[in-house]
Formats: sequence, structure tokens, C-alpha cells
Amino acid sequence: MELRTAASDPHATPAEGYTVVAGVRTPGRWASLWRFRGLLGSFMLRELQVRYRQAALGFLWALLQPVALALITTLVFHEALHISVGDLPYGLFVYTGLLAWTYFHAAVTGAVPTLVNNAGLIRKIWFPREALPLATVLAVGLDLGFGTLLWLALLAFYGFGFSFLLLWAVPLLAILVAVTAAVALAGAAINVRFRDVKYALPLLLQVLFFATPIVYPASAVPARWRPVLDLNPLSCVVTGMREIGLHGAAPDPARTLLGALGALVFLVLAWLLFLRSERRFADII
Amino acid sequence: MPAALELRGVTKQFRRGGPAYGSLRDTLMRLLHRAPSEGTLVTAVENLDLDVRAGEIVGVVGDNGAGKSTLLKLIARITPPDAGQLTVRGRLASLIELGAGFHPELSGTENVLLHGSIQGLPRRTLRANLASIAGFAGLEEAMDTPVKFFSTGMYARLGFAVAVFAHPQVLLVDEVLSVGDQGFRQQCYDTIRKLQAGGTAILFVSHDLPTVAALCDRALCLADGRTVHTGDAASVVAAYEASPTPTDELG
Repeated sequence: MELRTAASDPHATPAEGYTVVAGVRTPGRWASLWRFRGLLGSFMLRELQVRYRQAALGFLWALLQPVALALITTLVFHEALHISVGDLPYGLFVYTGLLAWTYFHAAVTGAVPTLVNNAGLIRKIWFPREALPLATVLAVGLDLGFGTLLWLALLAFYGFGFSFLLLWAVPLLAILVAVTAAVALAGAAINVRFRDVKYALPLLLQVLFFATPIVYPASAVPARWRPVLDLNPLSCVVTGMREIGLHGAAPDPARTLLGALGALVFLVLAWLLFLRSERRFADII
Repeated sequence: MPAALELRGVTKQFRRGGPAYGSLRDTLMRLLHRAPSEGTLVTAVENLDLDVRAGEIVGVVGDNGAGKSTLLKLIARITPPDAGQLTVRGRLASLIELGAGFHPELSGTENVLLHGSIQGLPRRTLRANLASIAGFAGLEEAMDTPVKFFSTGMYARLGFAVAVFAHPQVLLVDEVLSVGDQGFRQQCYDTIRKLQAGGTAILFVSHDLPTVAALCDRALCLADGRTVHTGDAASVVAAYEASPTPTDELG
């Protein structure tokens, strides 16, 4: 049978070419992810399709995790250890934190091994390698979306009024995705070189979980430790979400700006690290 | 018109024997003791020059370990050269391992979309041409089946169809066509000829010497990463066949 080719297709991209010079980074490498945005979509779709194809509960799993965690945390920290958050319902308070945390945790844990798991692909075909970890970060974003809808439902259920302040959730969650992408890119690149990452990552995540005001309010942190908290963009996201959802106030502008800048700097540095190490991926993976 | 594929003084070295990846501990110990990296440096491709013009098929022959696969990886920018430079003009597709990008749990259709976009094709272009790709692969009936149920031949046919659909200006072929049956191989050779007629520059790596002699316009013979014979395909194949067979079989 005769095959039509992409050349005869009006939507086909013009054919591209490249020059590789030893020791010189390919110019325009940044832009290649944009040309390959269809690939990013394909990897995301693959991830979602594979994840939910054989799981009977499907997307419900995405909601079950933060809800179950919120229940356990409430039992342990509120009922047993009597951590108090004023007159706020502790379950809702902790779910607000867990919403951001479960996304970060799932995306990073999922994205870090993607390069190694796709070693066969990396050894055979060139494509912008960052598409693999970033696709996971974006695919898990679907869970974050559902989690946010549940958060809004819970706010309504507990009688918190909706206002335009809730629109702050968009930039706050964008900061969250940026930090997550940064950690995912750096982690995935380092994981190719050092398989230690597999063992170090759960430990680091556990430390970060307690270093972020999820089960406790940021106000409980002593003043001399506060700068450490402010440098963690996750803490700015969690605190901000609580401000807009539970306190009916805008997030602290200075801290939010610091969090956004921090996330951006992390992302650029992680991307540079990734592009620096990617040249050797196929040789050492 | 400049050549579609151009290599100038390309060299690639590998460290063999040392740990390619490893634990942080090994690296820290090496840094602490200022020990040089372990392993010996092996030159896989040395100072190679090559031009393949549009509409030309160039064969590459040589023993295992001569640098043929490394050469293809360098051109496909999977691995970077240590010296020299190379240029690819236009879209490149490689038949290095047919179906390398396929995911076993996904259906044939989903894999065409995935594999095509790995090659840089927009998804809607692929979706618009699904029937044509499936037809070329002879898999109209199987496109909704997860490819984990495909046979090796079906896998290869679908991979080949997607790669050809990309309409490359430069095509790399490595030994892969041996997996299919006689009919599939014939279809592949016919398609390669058709791409050649359409102006695709083709680099054809194979141990199948009669095919190289018949299919290629020119050929080069590699030994230890260097070009030892070059010229018209038949005479290079004859020169390679006349050379003594080495015992060393490093892949």
C-alpha cells in the first residue's frame, strides 16, 4: 500500500536540521521543547492512559490520597497531640496544606525516575529529554485540579464564603508547579548519574514535609526560624492558600513575591543543570 | 547544493571498564583520593569525514565494534562528538530500532501518535493520517490492540511506517530490516528506493553485504573507528570481504 507522508500534509512543520559542534552547546536548544510540544502532550497522555487504564477507581485515587492523609493527620496531630489552629477546623486546615504537598510529592516521585525508566528511548532517539520529567509534572497536575475542586467544595461545606480572593489560587498554584518542575528536572538529571537518588529522595521529602507548615500553622514557627520558612516556596504556597481560603485575606505580598522569585530561580538553575548534564545521558544511562 | 549529511573530523571516545554511572560514594572517594577515572579510553570513531547528498544511499560496513552504531548515534545526536562537527540538513529519521518508542500498554493508534511526536511531528498531522499509516503497515485491524500483543513483525512494520511517514530528508538505517519476513523486507527496500528517488539522503548500515552492494551507490568500510575503504559499493564490499577476519568481537 502506498503511504502518504508528512510532506504532503498542510499542517506538517517545515523540516528542521541541526549542526553539532564538539564541545559547543547546540544553539536554540531551549526552543526545541516548544517545537516538540506535541511530544509533551503525548507523554502526558501516555502517563494518564497507563495510570488509569487498569485502576478500577481511576481518578478517585487522586482525591483519596490527600483526603485519607488529612484524616490520619487530624487523628494524630489534632485529636491525639492536640495541635490547635484556633477556631479553624483542623481537618480543612491540614487538607489545604496536603493539597499542595500531595501534588509536589506525587509529581517529584513520579518524575525523578522517568529518564532512567525510558533509557531505551534515550539511547535510540533524540528528543528534548526534559519532556519526560515535565510531562509527569503536568500530568499529575490533573490530580491537583481535582484536589482543588474538592478543596472549594470543602470550603463551601464548612461555610467559608467565596470571594474574588480565591483567584489568588491561580498564581499560588503556578508557583507550586514551577517549584515542582525545578525539583523534578534536577532530580531526574542527577538520578541518571547517581542512583543514590532513589534512596535519598524519600528521606529528603520527609524532611521537607515537616519543614513546610502543613500539619502546623506558619505562625507557630519561632521568629528566628522564620527566614528559613520564607525561603521555601512551598511554604509560601501553603500559607497563601490558607490566607485566601480560611482567613478571607490576600496572601502576604512580600512573602508571595519572594516565593515566586525563589521558584523562578530554582527553575532556571534546575533547567541549566539539566541541559548541562543531558549531553552525557545516552552514554551513561 | 550542500550535502544533506555532512561530517567533518568527527571523533568519539568512550571510557571502557570504569563505572559509567554509580554511587555517589565512588565519585566522592575518587575526588578525595584524586585518583584518575578508571577504565581505558577507547576511540569508537576517529576523525571521520563523510558527505551524503540528497538522493544518495551510502552503505557502511565493518566488523562488530568498528564504530558503525556509534556513527549513527552521533548523527542522530544521541551522543555528542568529542571533536569535529556534523550537520544534518532537514528532518532526520532513524530506523535504528523499529518501534523503540512504543509503549506496551498503549494501543497501536496511541503509539503512532506517541512515536510520531517523538520524531517531532504534530499530533494532528498524525491523527489525520492514521488510516494511511495503518494501511502501509498492514495493521488496519490491530490498531486498537495494545502493542504488547503485537508480534515482532507487526511491531517492526508499524515502527517503519511511522518513520517513513515523517518523510525524512536524512534517513539512518541500521540492520533492523532483518526482523521482518521476506515480504516486509521487500516493502522496506522498495520504500527506501522511493525515498531516495524523492531526494532523501540515506545512510545504510548492514552486515548483509549483497544488499549493500545492490542497494547503495557508495559505501565506506570502518575498522576501529576509521574509514579503511571508500568508493563505489561493490568495490568496498569486495575489499571488506577480502580483508582478514579479526577474532575480537566487541559490540
